[in-house]
Amino acid sequence: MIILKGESMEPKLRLMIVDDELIVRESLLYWFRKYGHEIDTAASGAEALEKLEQKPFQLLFVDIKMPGMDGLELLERVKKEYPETLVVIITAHGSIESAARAMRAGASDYLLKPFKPEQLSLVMEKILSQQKITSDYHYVKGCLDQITRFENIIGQSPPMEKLYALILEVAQSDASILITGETGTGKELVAKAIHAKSPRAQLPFVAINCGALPDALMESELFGHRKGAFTGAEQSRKGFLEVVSGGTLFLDEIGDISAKMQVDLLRVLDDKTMFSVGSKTPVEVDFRLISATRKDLEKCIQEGEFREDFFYRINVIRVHLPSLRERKSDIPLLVDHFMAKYSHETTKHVDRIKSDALSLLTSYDWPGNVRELKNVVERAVVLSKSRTLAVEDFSFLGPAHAALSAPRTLKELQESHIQKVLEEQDWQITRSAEILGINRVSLHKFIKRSNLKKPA
Amino acid sequence: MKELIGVVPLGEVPTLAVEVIAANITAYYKLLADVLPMRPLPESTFDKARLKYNAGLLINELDALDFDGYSKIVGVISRDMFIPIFNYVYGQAVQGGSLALISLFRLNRNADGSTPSTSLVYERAAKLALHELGHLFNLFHCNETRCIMHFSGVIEDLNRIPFYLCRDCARRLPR
Repeated sequence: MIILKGESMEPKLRLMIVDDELIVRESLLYWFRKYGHEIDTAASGAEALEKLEQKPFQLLFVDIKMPGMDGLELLERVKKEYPETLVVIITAHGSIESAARAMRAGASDYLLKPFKPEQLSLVMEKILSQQKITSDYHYVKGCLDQITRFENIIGQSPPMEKLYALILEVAQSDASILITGETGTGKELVAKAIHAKSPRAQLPFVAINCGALPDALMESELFGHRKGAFTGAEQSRKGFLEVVSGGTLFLDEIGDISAKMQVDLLRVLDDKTMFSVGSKTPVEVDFRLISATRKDLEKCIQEGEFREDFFYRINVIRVHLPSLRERKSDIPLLVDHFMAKYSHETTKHVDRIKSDALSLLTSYDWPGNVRELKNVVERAVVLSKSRTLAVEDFSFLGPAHAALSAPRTLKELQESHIQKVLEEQDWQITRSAEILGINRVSLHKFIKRSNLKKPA
Repeated sequence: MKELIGVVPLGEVPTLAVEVIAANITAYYKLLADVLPMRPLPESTFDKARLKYNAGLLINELDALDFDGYSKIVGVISRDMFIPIFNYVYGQAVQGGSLALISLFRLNRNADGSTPSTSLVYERAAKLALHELGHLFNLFHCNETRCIMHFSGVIEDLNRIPFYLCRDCARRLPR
């Protein structure tokens, strides 16, 4: 990254001078200040590495001869851990051998102290042009990143490529779509993408979470009501079916709606008309329906919980989302995206992840899918004390692994499992209770008895 | 406080050179500049190994002197000077500070070894002083080659740059 200061658009660098001699650090510091660069200094290789852990530097001037870690060792460490950081070696004891070693290890230049001002000026010109190339590369990479996204959906694995092709295909038709997939797979994002690619893109996209609304409220939200239709209806209000006019209606957790609501919606889908609560005048409606569910609706039909006719009406086209387990190759891309997002939101410099930490994330099964990964990366970024996420930053992951190694009581296992499910479901009691196979009241009682708490 | 610039010779320096420098400061920065009485060149700043004066130490010595009533000081020496990482420097200034220093030593020779005219030497001296004074006004090196704040690594660069600031640098100059 090149920092641009002031109005002249002169490229400014964040650079560090690493030399054990104070006089050299100060001389270079004063010199570079004349260019307006952002400068820091370090008296040793260890201090330089500590500072690099905290924030990124584009350029390091490193003296070869320093007590402790010498300049060449620091160069090798920097090139290994921060390959984008450029290093210029400076030395008062030059030899062809050390120069060759430095250049082989990836130094951008090699200067013999003392040098002429114009030599440093030439080195800086070269560095700035290298930085320009890096900056251009990042611009192009940014464009490529856009390519790896599809309407805010991130992923370039084969299952996602198939999904993108399917979205483009189904977006053009007006048929009802049912999106299925595990919790946290991004069903609403896909619904939005279908809307964005459809001929209705310029018209409203209205999303309703059916699982979150009681039946009466849902009816009023969808169909609207006339003034005085029920106690508290002091004003007439348009329902979402009318508001969405011409656009796309997204009904999330459609498996949670009541049998009565299924009948009401079926009628609307068949007749393209509806009645507000308390009204006898039909209103014509025009919308494209996208529904989503994490439930197995065919099974619900067999068990008599879901109407078959309604199911066939909403399930004209089926779009199934892959779980994160089925597209693990997208995890690095998703981690990068969430790191950038939460670094930006928290104004922290967390832009890197160690390979073993990434391996840990890739080996995990992600029952909560992308939503769980997002929460995990957010937590790690918020708590991280350096710019690089390490395995320790994810130590809270996988209590199941810990359970295998340490003998635990049945009660402890039960508590940790329930806590995990609650966290995966963002502490949504109804959904968590369903996954656990118990009712909501029992779950509430268990939470109270075991003193389980939602993380702050 | 109104800016008042002092131009002070350190050791033997041609009188005309410091007068030209002061006149150019007034002409290009529109600030009053006085030629101050000569002060001795502190021998403690001479480096016997490098046979040059240490610009950093000279600035420290200048700092210890009393220049009451002057907001910025430009010291002028006839001898060669250096800072520890460089073989030599034409000038030195504390970015955004009040003390600058220039050396006439390397201005007396052209790149091909020939001797320049006296007027060219004074022209170079004036440009150097205007450049270092720019740093005292917290101006940075400028990419624009037609600007006094463009860095001059070699003497031809100094010949090429103009006396004046480019539009961007002029705009950043404190009023």
